[in-house]
Amino acid sequence: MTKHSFTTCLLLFAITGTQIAAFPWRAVQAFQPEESLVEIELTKKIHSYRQPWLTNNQTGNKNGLVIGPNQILTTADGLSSSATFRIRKGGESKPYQAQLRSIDFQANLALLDVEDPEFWLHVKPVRLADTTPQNGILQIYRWRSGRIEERAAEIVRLHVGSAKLSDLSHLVLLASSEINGAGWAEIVMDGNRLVGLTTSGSENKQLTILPATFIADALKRGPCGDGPGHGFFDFYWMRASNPALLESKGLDPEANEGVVVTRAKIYEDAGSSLQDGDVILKIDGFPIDKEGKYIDPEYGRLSLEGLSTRQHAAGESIPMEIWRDRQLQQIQYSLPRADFNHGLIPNHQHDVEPRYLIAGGLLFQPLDGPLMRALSKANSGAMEYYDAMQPEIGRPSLVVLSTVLPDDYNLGYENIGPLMLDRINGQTISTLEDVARALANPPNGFHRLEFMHDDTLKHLVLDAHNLEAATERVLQQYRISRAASAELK
Amino acid sequence: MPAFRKILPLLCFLVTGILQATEAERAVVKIVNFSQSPNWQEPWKFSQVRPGAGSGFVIEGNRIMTNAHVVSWSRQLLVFRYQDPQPYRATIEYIGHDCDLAVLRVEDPAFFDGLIPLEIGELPIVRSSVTTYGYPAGGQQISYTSGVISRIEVQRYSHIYNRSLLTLQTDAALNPGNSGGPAIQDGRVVGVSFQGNPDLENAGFIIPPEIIRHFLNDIEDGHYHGFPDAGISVVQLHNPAFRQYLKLPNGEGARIDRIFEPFPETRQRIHENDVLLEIDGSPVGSDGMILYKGNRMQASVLFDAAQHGQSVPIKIWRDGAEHAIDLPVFVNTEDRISGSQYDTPPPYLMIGGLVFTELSLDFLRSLGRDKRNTSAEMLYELFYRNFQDEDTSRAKPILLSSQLNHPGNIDFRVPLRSILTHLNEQPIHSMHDLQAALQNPIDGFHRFKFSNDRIEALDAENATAIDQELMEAYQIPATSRIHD
Repeated sequence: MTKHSFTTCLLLFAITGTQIAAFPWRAVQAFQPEESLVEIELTKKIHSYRQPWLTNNQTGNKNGLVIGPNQILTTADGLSSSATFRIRKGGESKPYQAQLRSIDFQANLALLDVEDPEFWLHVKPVRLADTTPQNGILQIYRWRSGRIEERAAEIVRLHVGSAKLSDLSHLVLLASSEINGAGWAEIVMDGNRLVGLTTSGSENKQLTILPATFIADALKRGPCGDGPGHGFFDFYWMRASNPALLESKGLDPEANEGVVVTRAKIYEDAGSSLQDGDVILKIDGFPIDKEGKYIDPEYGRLSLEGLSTRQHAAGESIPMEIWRDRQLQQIQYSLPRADFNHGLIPNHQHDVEPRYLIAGGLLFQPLDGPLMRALSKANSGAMEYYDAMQPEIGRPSLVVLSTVLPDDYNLGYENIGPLMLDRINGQTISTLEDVARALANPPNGFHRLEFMHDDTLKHLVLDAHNLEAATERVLQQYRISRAASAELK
Repeated sequence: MPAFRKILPLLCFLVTGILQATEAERAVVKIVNFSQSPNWQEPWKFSQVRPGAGSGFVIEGNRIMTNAHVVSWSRQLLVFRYQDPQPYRATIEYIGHDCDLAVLRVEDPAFFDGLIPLEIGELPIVRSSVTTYGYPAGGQQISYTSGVISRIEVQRYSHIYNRSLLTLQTDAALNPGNSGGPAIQDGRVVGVSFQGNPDLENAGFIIPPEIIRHFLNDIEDGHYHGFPDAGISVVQLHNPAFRQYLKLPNGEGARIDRIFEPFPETRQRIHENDVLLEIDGSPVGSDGMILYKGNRMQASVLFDAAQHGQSVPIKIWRDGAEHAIDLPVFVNTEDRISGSQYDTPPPYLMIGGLVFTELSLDFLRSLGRDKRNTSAEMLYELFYRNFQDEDTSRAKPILLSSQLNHPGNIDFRVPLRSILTHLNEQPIHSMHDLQAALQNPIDGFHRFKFSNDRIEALDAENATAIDQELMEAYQIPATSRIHD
């Protein structure tokens, strides 16, 4: 579906909603979940980061909701590396092949489509609620063994929280329910309107719900709508609750305003209009109190982080009023685009196969969150530190020698790794491509590897002439089909 | 009579043996230590007094040798002779926490009446039998256990944690209370029982004569310096390509991968990727081991044999040629925070109820096993310091260890255990830096900056007043304890 047609579709729903509000005497048709709720069966690839050339598969089920012509909405959770989708509707056993139209891991949303016209017979799209209730009882629906399961959920509170699959900040609805094992896009309804999709459940019966109001915005801003992407605040701040801190900056210690910027730039290479030590007094016209809250016109007191996704997309400018150098200043803050590749060791990876390069039995991999978690206890203290603190070390990313597949060629190196690479043959290493390029240029018949100065080993030398033959031998010995992940030329 | 003459030598041997055994056990003493260890998070406090028992033995010069850990943090030391209920007051004359040994003096010279000091023997051979003497838990009488020397190699000394020295392993049962007692072979001390390993069965560890003699020689000048270090990381050099790259003609020698900080003397003489061929005449294998008195072990054992400031002759391979170097070795005191610390209670400085102290292994341990209390940054700062530059290795990170709440600081919102990087815009690398920066508030405020990007401020005058109130309220003897 194109952006244009989807926008039209949403507009249509909005108009319909207005009509219902304007003519309350018209009978509102009761929600029939079997007409809109579908069951999604997916098969996905499971990658091994310890042996990145290996792939398994796994099947799973979750829920989806018809929200428009050829549009089935679900969460992106569990869809990473999914290859096939089948959808059942109305409690029928017949599955329909489905296609993933778009997926937005930042916002945790996906849209699927079914090409078979028969599927679309007798299904009814559901409208997204244009506001999020803050109290009361909601209904949760899902398919179970061909029958609809309905549960009640009591709203606990609405707040600004982190997205499940990313660091995006947005509205999150918490509810309490007796439903078990939820969190797989069970639909949460208020009458016949979608209030949200569940994103997680917990043993203490608390459900996290992605609100429909955020979904509607995210579908326009994110990859699902070919939008500019989601923005985030690329700075750290702290509460200015200590009067002495405000007073030391020349502000009224009794005034309930402002938070202090403690790191003006976390990831972005581009300059930030903020500076360390600035006191943010207003964002987008909303006064910020000393606890970092603003008063939302619809939802009341919320964290300022929510303003990064409330009304703006990536790239847009947000006006800020700040206190800097004992003066009030107005600045424009350009909202950076949320990106999973941010940071020295990016925490999240979705829909990407693990990348690797094997040379002479040495396995090189980009250092990211999934690899850190896979290596777990083998991680050096320096790796854990780099992951936690994301220090600036003069390169955007890191590559590790994660393990060695023993061979005569790498005799003596069998037990090393994981080690963070600094240079190969004098060239600084940030990516696997750097590794490949550096190995193509050995000086004096040897490859000289240097590891980060604070890792446990600093130097290693390999024979350059026999590298290729050794790699071939290792691939055969360990039954590995490729010396490098597919995209690495 | 002729028959008696025949058995006379045997009788003499038996009697001598019995006498020797009697002398040995008479020379073994029980030590009771009433100790009080510091609170690393609230450093002005100490634990309640705890009694602990260990063993020791009389050595020449009317002294008692025992383990350092038996007598650490002592408030009162009592020693008891063999089968004598009389307690005698003892004091620590010298203590070597790196080698877990101590020498005690007893105030009453009558304590040594009739006791024959035990002699220190030679390194026993593997598979030979030893008998351990001591006063382990489970009874009041002296206890003996026998076993064989299972192996001899370099092991971590758990009392100090960040040192590894030559160790004997035995299958003789060693239990709490055995610590400090002698292991005897042929009537001479061949070791001091000192530690176990909960992951192993029938394995106790003994400090060998080489370490005991090193300690005793060290204290001869009236001061204990400790075991020196060469400051190098020696790694195996098996890979043929690496050996060829270094133009090595044969299969001997291990590679020096890095030079630790702060070892400026080593850095002047040694380069990374030099190959260590020989230490004090002993060839170094490609696995970094040497043959030491019939045992294959880490080459570092030969550096350990030197005293602080002495030079060790070594041969290295560099740029395709052999070089002879005299490498001076020194005791590294800059890494004390990554090992267990004793004798001196932790430093601290209180500013407006915020208590700052050094990050240290002891501080980390005081947080318990809950990993949520520690951070990757703390571990990195503690254990990777000697991988970095000389200044970093000498610096001591300062953290916020506790906050005594007061209306004047209640809104100071920095998580405990945050590492302080700046006070009043001055970089903080030590307690002395902190003390100096405290003298220079900016516009009447103390301004704090932490490594987790937190910034905070306290009114300087108020901070002083707050401290006075808190000292009274919590009976804190002083706002600071900073060592020279």
